[in-house]
Amino acid sequence: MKSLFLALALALFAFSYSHAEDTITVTDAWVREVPPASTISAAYMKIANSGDKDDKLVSASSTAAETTEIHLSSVDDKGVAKMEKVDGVAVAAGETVELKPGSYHIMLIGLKEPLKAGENVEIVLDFENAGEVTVSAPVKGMDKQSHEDHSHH
Amino acid sequence: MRRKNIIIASFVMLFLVAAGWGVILYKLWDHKTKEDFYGNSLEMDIPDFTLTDQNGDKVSLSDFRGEPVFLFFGYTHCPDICPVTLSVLNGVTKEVGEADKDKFKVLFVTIDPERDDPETLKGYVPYFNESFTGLTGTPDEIKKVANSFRAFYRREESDSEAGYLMGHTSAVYLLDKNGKVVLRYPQDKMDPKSIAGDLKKIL
Repeated sequence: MKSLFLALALALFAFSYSHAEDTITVTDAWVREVPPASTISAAYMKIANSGDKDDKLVSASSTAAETTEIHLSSVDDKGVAKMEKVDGVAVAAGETVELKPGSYHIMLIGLKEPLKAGENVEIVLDFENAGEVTVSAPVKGMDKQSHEDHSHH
Repeated sequence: MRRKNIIIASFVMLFLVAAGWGVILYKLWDHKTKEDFYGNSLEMDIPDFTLTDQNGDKVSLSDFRGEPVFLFFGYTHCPDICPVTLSVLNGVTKEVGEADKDKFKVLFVTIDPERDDPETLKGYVPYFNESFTGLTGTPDEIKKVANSFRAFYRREESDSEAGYLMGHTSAVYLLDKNGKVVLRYPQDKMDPKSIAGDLKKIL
């Protein structure tokens, strides 16, 4: 009886865990191929929160890099670009946030191997509520990187 | 007396009509010159400068007289805006067509000379396009060049593992065949096809 109870509790736990993770869906993830001298790159993706609770991406990690940080690029009204480290990216309930060039991105610092187009980089995203979500992001060469976002804002 | 008044009135009328035509013609001309380009018009004379390229050779702006030059200030530790901009400029070389792709130059001037020596630039700039030139120099030399473009940059200390980051003017400047700045492309005007269109007009 006791073991049945435990099994039930475990099943319930497993269910609720996977359920929590399901609220976050990551699509269109990609990592920028880098010039040979670069030891840093950036990862971009769309993060959708289908849950009814606000969530926040608080950290990320990848075996491809020594350190992984969340950064925000911006250009002020004088045309000065800057980048800053941020403590996370909020993803409100029902919303989709896009990590894209010129905006939020995940910085891969201290690349262990130079990234080449066609490879995949595994990134573990840690969310405040949803917990860990693992994404496999393809490395894109220069010609495949979209500039659409740039010509439209 | 009356005759004099008529003459004066005629002159005034003539003047007004001429002035009206002047305004109309000026507006037409102004409209034409301003709307012709995708980039933002900006007329700026740049004093000649000499910096060091990725092969360790001295390069002067005046070396490129006779061909238009795209110039961009950036740094190799910049993983987002700089590679995007250099990719866009690579896109321009594709869009401008086979016949014209060697008729202009792209210069990437580092605003982080402390970390970007010629060797670092060599492993960075040609990746985007073999024909691109990366330029570095002493902090004073770089400052002088940036000032002549009225470009701004600042070292921003941060707790990032990437080390310090740079805030910098992110626009691309287009210089005509005489080495004079004629157009400026801010980050919201980064369409390679439209930039190539402007370039063709000044080739």
